[in-house]
Amino acid sequence: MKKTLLLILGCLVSNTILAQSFTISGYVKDKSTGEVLIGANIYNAKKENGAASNSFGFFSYTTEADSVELIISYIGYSVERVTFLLKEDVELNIELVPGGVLEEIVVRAGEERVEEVTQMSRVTIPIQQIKSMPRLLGEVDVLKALQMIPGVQSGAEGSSGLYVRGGGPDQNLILLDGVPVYNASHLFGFVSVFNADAINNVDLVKGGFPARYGGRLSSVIDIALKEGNTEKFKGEGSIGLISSKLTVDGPISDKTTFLISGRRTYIDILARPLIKAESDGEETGGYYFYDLNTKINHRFSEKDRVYLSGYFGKDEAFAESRTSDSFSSRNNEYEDDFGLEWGNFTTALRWNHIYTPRLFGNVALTYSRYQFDISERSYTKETTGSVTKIDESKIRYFSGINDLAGKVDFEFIPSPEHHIRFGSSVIRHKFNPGVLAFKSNVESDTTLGEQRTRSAEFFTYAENDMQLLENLSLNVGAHFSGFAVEEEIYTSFEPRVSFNYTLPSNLAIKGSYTKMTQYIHLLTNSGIGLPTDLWVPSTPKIKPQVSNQFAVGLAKNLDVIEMTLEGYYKKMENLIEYEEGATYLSIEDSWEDKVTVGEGESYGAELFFQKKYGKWNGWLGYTLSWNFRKFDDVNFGRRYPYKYDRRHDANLVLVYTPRKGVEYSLGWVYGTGNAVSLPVSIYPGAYPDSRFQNGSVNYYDGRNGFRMRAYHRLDLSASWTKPKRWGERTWSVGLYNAYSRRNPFFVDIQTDYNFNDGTEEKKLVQYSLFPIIPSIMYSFKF
Amino acid sequence: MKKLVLLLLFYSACETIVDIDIPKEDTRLVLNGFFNPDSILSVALYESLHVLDDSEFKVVEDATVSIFDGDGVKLADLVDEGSGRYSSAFHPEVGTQYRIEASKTGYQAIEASDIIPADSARVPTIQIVKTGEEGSGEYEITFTIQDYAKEDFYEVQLMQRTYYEFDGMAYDLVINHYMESEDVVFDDFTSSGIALLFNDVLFNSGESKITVTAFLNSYISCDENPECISEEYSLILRKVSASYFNYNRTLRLQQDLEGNPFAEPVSVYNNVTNGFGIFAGFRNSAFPFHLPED
Repeated sequence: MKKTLLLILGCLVSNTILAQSFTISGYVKDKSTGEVLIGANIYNAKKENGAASNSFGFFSYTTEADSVELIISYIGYSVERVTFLLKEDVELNIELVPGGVLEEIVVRAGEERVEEVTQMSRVTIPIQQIKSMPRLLGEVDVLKALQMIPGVQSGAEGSSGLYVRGGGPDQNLILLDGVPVYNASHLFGFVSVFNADAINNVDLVKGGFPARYGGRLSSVIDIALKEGNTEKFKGEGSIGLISSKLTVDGPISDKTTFLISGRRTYIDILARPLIKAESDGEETGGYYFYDLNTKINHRFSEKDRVYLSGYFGKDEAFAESRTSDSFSSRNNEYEDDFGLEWGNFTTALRWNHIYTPRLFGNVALTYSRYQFDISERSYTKETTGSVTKIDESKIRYFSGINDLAGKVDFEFIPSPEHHIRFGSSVIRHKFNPGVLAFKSNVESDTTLGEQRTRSAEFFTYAENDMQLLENLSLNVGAHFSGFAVEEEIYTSFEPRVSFNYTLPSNLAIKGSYTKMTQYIHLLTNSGIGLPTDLWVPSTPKIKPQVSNQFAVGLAKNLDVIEMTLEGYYKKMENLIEYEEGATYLSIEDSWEDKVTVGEGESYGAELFFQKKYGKWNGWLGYTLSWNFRKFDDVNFGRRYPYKYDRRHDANLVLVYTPRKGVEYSLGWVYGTGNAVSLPVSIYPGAYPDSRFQNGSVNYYDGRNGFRMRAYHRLDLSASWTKPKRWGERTWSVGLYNAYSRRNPFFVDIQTDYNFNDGTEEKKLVQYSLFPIIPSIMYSFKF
Repeated sequence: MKKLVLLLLFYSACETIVDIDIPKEDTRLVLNGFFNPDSILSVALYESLHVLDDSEFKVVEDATVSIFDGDGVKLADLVDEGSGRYSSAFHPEVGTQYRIEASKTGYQAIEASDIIPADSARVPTIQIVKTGEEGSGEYEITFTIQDYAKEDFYEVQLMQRTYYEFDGMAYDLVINHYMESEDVVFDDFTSSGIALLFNDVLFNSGESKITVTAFLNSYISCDENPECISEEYSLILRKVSASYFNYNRTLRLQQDLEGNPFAEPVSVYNNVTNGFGIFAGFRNSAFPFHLPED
């Protein structure tokens, strides 16, 4: 351990002392909107090295005093070249012109090449490519786009849940402007909460996690919101089959910009009059969701910027009934209300400060809340003559989690060979895993299951992304975290290391090892990511989840196509699962008494070809994987395949833009059928009196021992954009499941009775969810 | 909640009959038998079926069934009484471990062991309060249970025994009444029915008050039937073995979750080696009570 620490410390403090060196620093932005460009490449052709812009668009490049020729590039933008003589520190803000996406120009000199990046298992999909992909019901969905990446499984049909390298849906750290989002789905999982119109950048990290990331075992999904147009007031929106959205952004002053983006469904508005008419006005009900992203960004000086961003989203389903009747002198009035709602609220206040051209800092205060609430009210008013009797009762079940966090991060870039990051964070969690409150005017009020838990989580990290040799780079670091809950304090030291060794043929060999610790758990028994799933903390009885992941891979740029091949092995411990038959509403017991603790193991290989720009762009991915779970109290303690153990998984995304304003896209997915448990034998159940049978007992020879049919689906879309006096409009049409494949959602054994001859026939029946679904959407920009 | 989601999903769901190769398991013997000190030993033998087999369960006749004590001494051979039932005049004793073996040509021989709990249930008090409207037959029954200092398993029933005369003949009829409870000792799926299972995890070696709501409205009540001579009510508190508890609990759970596509399936407890079924012991203790006057 001591040796490891010394090695890490040595790596962190080692620094190339440059003779008379100066720093070029600044921001890279989109010239037309002023939006920062994340991950833009700044390359010095003279020295053949460079830097990349960070998640705030900031870059810092230090080199010897000399003439420099900077090539600044970013996918979808024209390349910018800047030449000057460097003789002092220079502040350089670069603006790139969009529109280069169709040009098959290979910017070999300036391009960030996949074989040169130390980090592996990381995928960036340009937001424009996400918007071009075919989608369900016309809704652009960031998480569904990520499901098409090798190593990421989609879970149930239509769901936006992510299962990364064998991990569960709770093991993804989904960050929206740096704030964790706990439930990222609307419409019971069919639509994700992220509105693509408000998003600037999406990064997915599924392994080889740098030390700055922690708190989840399987992935980090880092979503950055746009900052708002600095040049002029702009807007865009769309009208679709289930929802409409509108985004406006622009400058408030020359130093302040804003962005506001909203989306709402209108199923309820359309359905409400129909339900009312059907029930003679006695009943109404509906379902809707909305979300709202807001951001304000102020530049106090060239060195200080403040960002305030917020997300508010809610899903609500409701039903109301108002009826009455009369018997002779007695009048009765009845009211029944049912409500179900869940939603997230997140906000972040962030302050960037450039301490020196080589030292960049960010301080953030964040708040995230997720709450689920289900309520039912029953009201009866009975009037007999002058006597009135009222019975009213309300029952409410709610659960939730909220986090308040502070975080500081620093980036120190002393030379192109070293990029050092360090920082710390403290999070206060409040868990409320389920409360049932009962109120009545005839019985005493009752509250059950109040199990509020407060806990504190902290971490500190340091990492150095360094170029050790011309063909060997290394990212080494450590993440130390702790979690205090009740009288227990857990700590975890997590070494992180990644390397990249480039062979002469520009073929890179990569490898990584990461240990991750997760102090929170998700209790679910639905398997489809319902809002009823409960977030619970580690406790003295339930230990934190831990994973160890090893990965090795190859990476190479094949002309305009990036190719990566990665193999991984991941072991997970202290996973929890409901005991058989336990449900979220069993609030009389503590949730800790309803779970069983076990472990998981997954391994596999992922092949990925990605072309990010050009008339033809897209990707092809293939995953070969194995994924298991083992719990003492499940499957008689024997290891069994995870539900989403998918031996083969293939994805193809193609976007074709024959000319400006016309776009065609195709998405095809294939996956081995999900694992399913089916009985193999049946036998009579027993009654205490042996003369009788107690129904029939199903005998399962192990959990998830069978496979449903393979899943495959083709989605198509086309869009036509036309400039208008006021801006531009786009018509998009799409077909989800174009060849109407009946994909399995679940299978069941069904018995058909023949009433003519009294016989019955048993058969395995597969239920499918979505046949071919066309969609149409009208979008506009002004 | 789940219903709402199911409704949404089924709205557009369609069915396809599919072939998934479910291998044909060897047919196994199934032994079902609960034993107690108040009855002779009686078990039923069947054979298992492939899950997609449409036929009725088949009983197994002409098998050899023997009962042994814990030391392996054979106590009796059970007699084939037809219809798959095998019995012996032998009365099991409390606290003794028993092993049963069954074999028949063409099947793998099976065996199972269990015990009748040594201690009887203790219920010092029972309180009955009429809670429902007139004629509803709804009563709230609260009983105190005194537990022992070890892991104990219980099943509670409410029994009505009615004696009546019809055409000069005397009869007695026993009914176990439906109950439900919100008491914390019960699981969701064992908190209603004619027999409620619970264990002593929450009150081990202590005393606990348990409340159930019972519906004692019966068409054989003496209030309604002139043929009725008398009626008795008893709370039957059954001390059951761990095998009895686990089998009935998991069976109830499996039956409860049947048809729910989102629930993981439950394996029913089985203590029959090389076969299926249950061989488990229990003992009854009856605590009579009277219904309160209106």
